[in-house]
Parts: sequence; structure tokens; C-alpha cells
Amino acid sequence: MIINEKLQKLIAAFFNKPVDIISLSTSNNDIEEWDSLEHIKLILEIEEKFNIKFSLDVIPNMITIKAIQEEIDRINNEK
Amino acid sequence: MKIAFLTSFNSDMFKKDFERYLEKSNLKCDLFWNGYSLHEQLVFDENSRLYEFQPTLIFIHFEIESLLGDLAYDILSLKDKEREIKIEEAKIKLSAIVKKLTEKLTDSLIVIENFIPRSNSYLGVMDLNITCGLIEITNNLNYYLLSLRQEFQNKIIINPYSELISKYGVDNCFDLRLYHLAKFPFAKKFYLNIFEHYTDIIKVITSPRKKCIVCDLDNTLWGGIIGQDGIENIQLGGSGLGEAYVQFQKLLLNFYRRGIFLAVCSKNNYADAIDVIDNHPDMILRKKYFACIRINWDSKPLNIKSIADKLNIGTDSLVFIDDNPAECELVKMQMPEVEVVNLAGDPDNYIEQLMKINSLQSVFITGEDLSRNLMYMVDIKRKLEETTYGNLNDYFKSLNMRAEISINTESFFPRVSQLTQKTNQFNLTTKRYSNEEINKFVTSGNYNVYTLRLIDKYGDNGIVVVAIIEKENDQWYIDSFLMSCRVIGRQAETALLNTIIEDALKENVKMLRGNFIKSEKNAPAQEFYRMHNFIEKSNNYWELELPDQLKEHFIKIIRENHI
Repeated sequence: MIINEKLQKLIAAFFNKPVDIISLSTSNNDIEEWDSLEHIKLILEIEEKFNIKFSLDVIPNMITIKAIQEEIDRINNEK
Repeated sequence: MKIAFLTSFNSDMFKKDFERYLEKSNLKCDLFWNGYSLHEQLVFDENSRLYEFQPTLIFIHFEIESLLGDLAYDILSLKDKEREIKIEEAKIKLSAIVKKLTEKLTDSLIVIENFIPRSNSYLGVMDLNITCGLIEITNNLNYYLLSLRQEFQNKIIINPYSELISKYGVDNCFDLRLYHLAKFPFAKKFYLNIFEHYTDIIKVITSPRKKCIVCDLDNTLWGGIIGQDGIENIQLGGSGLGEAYVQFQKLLLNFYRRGIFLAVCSKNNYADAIDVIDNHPDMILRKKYFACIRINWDSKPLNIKSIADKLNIGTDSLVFIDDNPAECELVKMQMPEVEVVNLAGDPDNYIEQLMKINSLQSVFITGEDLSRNLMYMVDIKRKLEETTYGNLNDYFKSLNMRAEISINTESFFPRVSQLTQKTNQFNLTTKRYSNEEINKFVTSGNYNVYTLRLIDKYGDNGIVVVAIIEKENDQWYIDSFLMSCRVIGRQAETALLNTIIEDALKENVKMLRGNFIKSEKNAPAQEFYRMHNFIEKSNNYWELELPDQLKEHFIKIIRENHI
């Protein structure tokens, strides 16, 4: 699995970090600013930019880039 | 400006976005937010950060759910009577909060968002058919806000949050996932709208209000171009587009009633356009609603300037509306201080475009606002119309003036005396007489005391012209001739002089004579004799040989009595 560049850039910009530190394995533990409130804001930002909507039950679990990307792919494949 | 937001929801979710939004809109505000669930505590704690902050403006945005707790979505958990008690408790809480805030922050203004639930009632159709369903409770508390507003006059403004939500719809405004995750109700795509809703009221409160809306006509107040299409073919009234223009005119009428002047600025032949305003059956904004009308081929900036001058207001208090982008550009370029609204799209969108202009909105309406347009109209409408008529004679004709002229009528002597005492400007001799002196003139039989009462389509001006004529055989001498300055320039003096001449001819009088006695103030009367064909025989002594051709005027004369 390769990281989605658009997602990588979005997350880097959201937390104001260099793009190259964001990898598939990056999680909320690696980024200090990624607390529970910022998590929801991040999810909203992704929803807006990828024009999708995540369901309530998965949002709390999308705390690694990999998990986020998998959910995006899953939704896009269903479309 | 220091603004405190007290919200029942978790404002952390959007406060950074709001701060960015404020920066972009060039509103310099210092913001205070309550931490989640501290909105009531901060009010009742006298030493709280809120009071330290000393806000000038306090937004209270409590969701109704926060006041009702579990009851909101479990209405039947309580019996009707218990629900009523719950409502009373909510009222007491609201009132206590407002009271505390006004006591502690005496100079602050409180903006309260009214209530609307974030979800439709779980009772469905039953909700409105039982006592104290969610909708009734909401209405009840909203109604209570109005009584709070009455109690704390000028301290509280109710901001119509429910109108905002009904405009966009519950499904679009709220994202319940966020409420479940973070106690925050708004959908991200709704942020801009709620931010606008907050800032609109800030702008309304802080920015100076515009005083006049200057309207284009073609494709603004009606559809089509009157000069090409003609009155039969323009779109106004009926149905479809024409109805949309009628609705837009009704919006403008609302502004008129709120004390904002309306003016016309249109490139057209005057006669074509005024015909629509006067005679089109579906026209809402008749001439009387316009404080100033400029229909000509001059440039719009020129006309806008002249409208501002006429109304004696600055061009920075004007809003100009026009569908033509080129005209709008020109005005924007030459008069950047004018708020220009380039009406775009179909006329049914015009209402929204004009409603967006915050500087036309106001929170309160004063008695002065309500009467401004009326007072203004009665006072100077005549003068305004003068400039809108092609020529002066048309104007005079349109006034439908009547003069009731009477001679030696005793009941008028107090008024005659009063006018001699206080008339300075149009007064040929400035002789002051008491009531008794007037009486003596008349009883001597040697004098005619004329009074003229002027009535026009706007009303009765009362007795405004007086002449005292001394009869010396076949020569009549003008002892006094004066006119109230209210009616200068209306030809009333000519109407009275002509009547005097007619009377004189009946008595075979050969000459009218008179002096002009110059005073410090009577320059307006200086040309009276010359303009009525008198000849200056010596310095300030004038004679008119009879018979002479009468000067034309447009006043219908009604003789009350004859000699």
C-alpha cells in the first residue's frame, strides 16, 4: 500500500508539519497536536476535501494514516 | 471590541475558524469563549474570567436542549403539569442569567439567540397535538425572550437564530455525528452561515446606518426598458417575473417605513418613466415614496451627488442599486464611499441581495424612524417636485392650488396683525400693526384689508398673504403687502394682486401706487413691483397704470366675499 499523496499533504498541512514525516504508520501518538478535538476537525477536513462522509462508528478508530486511507478507499470502492 | 460568547455547546470545535473568519472580514474583535459546560457557572460566579474580561457585547447562544435536559427528546417522561413547571424553571434560569449579566456588566449589550431544536420532535405529528410538546415549549420560551427584551430595554437584542435555521433547514445546518462525538451541533458546511449570522449583528450594531437607497428603474424596479418596451410591455405585476419585481418593491417599501429614504436615479425620458410610477396599476412605489427623483440622461454619479445634496446627507450614507454592471462600476470608481449593490440574476434574487447589506439593517426602530419619511415628505415634498417637473408651470399646475381671498373679514384680523408683526422677508413695507389698528382701518371705510388662504393638494397652508390697501378716490395705495415665507415662489402674491386690480377696476380706479421700504431682511420682496409691471417713478416709489394686462398664475381664486 502506498500513501495517498493528497491525504499526506492534507494531514501535514493540517498539523503544520513537513510532508515527509507523515507516513502510513503515523498515528495520533506521533503528533502532539492530534488530540480528540483536533481529530474530529481533521476528519471534517478530510470529508470536505475528499467529498465523502465517514460513519460515526469508524471516526473514533481512524487514528492512524493507514486506517484513514483504508476507510477512504473502502468508501470510494463502494461508490 | 470585546465580545464574549456564552454557548451551551462545545465552541472549541469552531472558534479558531471563527477567529480566522473575523480577521478576513476586517472585524477587529477580542473574543472570550466559555469552556464547555461552563456557560452558566461563569455568569453566576462573580469573580469569573467573564467579568474580568469586561465584554462590550455578550452573545448568549444556548440550545433549547441545554435548558430542557432529557425532556427535549423524551417529552412524555413528564406529565403536562410537570412539563409546565420545567418551562417555568427554564424561564427563571434565563431571567436570572440576564439579570446577573446586566447587573455586573452595566455597559454591555446582550445578544440572545432565540431557540429552535436541533432535531425535529421525536413525537412527530403528535407533538403539536398535546399540551407542551417540544414545539410548544420552544415557542413558549421564544415568547418569553420577547418579554425579557421588554423588561431589559436597550440591554438585550434577540438575534433570530431560528430564522437562520429555517432558512437552511435542520438537515443542512446540523451534523449530529459531531454532537455525539464532541457536543457540537453544526455541520462544517454551515460554519460560514452561522459566522455570518453572528457578525451581521455585530456589524449592524457598530456600523453607521445608511440613510437612503438610490434605485435604478429599468430591470430594477420593473422588468424591461420603458423607453423601448412601453408601459404596456414592461414586466410588473401579473405573475412570474412581474410579480418578483412587485415583491422587490415591497421590500423597498419596508425600508421606507423603517425611515430610510428612497430615491430614483434612472437614465430615461422623464415622461416615460414617471408615467409608470404614477400610472402603472401594479407599481407599489408611487411618487410619494421617493424623497428625490432624478430621471434624465446625466451620469449616475452626478445624479447621485445631487440626490445627496437635496436630502442634505453625505454620499457615504447612500446605497445605490442597479442591474447594470457598467453603471455600478462607474459609481464604485467615482464614489467609493457609496455602497453599490449590483443586482444580478433574476429579480426573485434581488431581495436576498439587498437584505445582505448590513448597513441598511437596524435592531431598534425609533419613533423618529417611523415618522422621518412622513415629516420629510410633508415639509419639502413641494420643493422636491419642483425639480422633477419639466418646467415650473407644470409644477404649479400639478399642485392644484386654490386661493380663498376675503376682504375685511373681522375674524381674520388677529392673524393679519400677527403676520404684520412677524413677516420680515416678503414684506414690501414692514409696517407692524396691532389688531385694533387693523380694525380702525376697516371701520374708517378707506381701507381694504385682503387675506389670502392658500390650499394645495398637500393641505391647507392657512392665511399666508395679506394686503392693506388705502383707497384714495381713483388711486389705490398699497400700504402693506406681505407673504409668509412658507409659500414664497408659489405665485400667491400674483393671485392676490390680480384680485386687487380686478376690484380696483370695478371702482374705476386709474392707478395702483406703492412704496418699497427697504429693511435688512426684505430682499425677497424687492422685485415684486417690477415683476408686476409697476414703473419706478422715484426712488422706491412705484406706480401701475390701470387697466394693465394681468400676470399669469396657476391658482384658482375663490372669492369669499366682495366689496
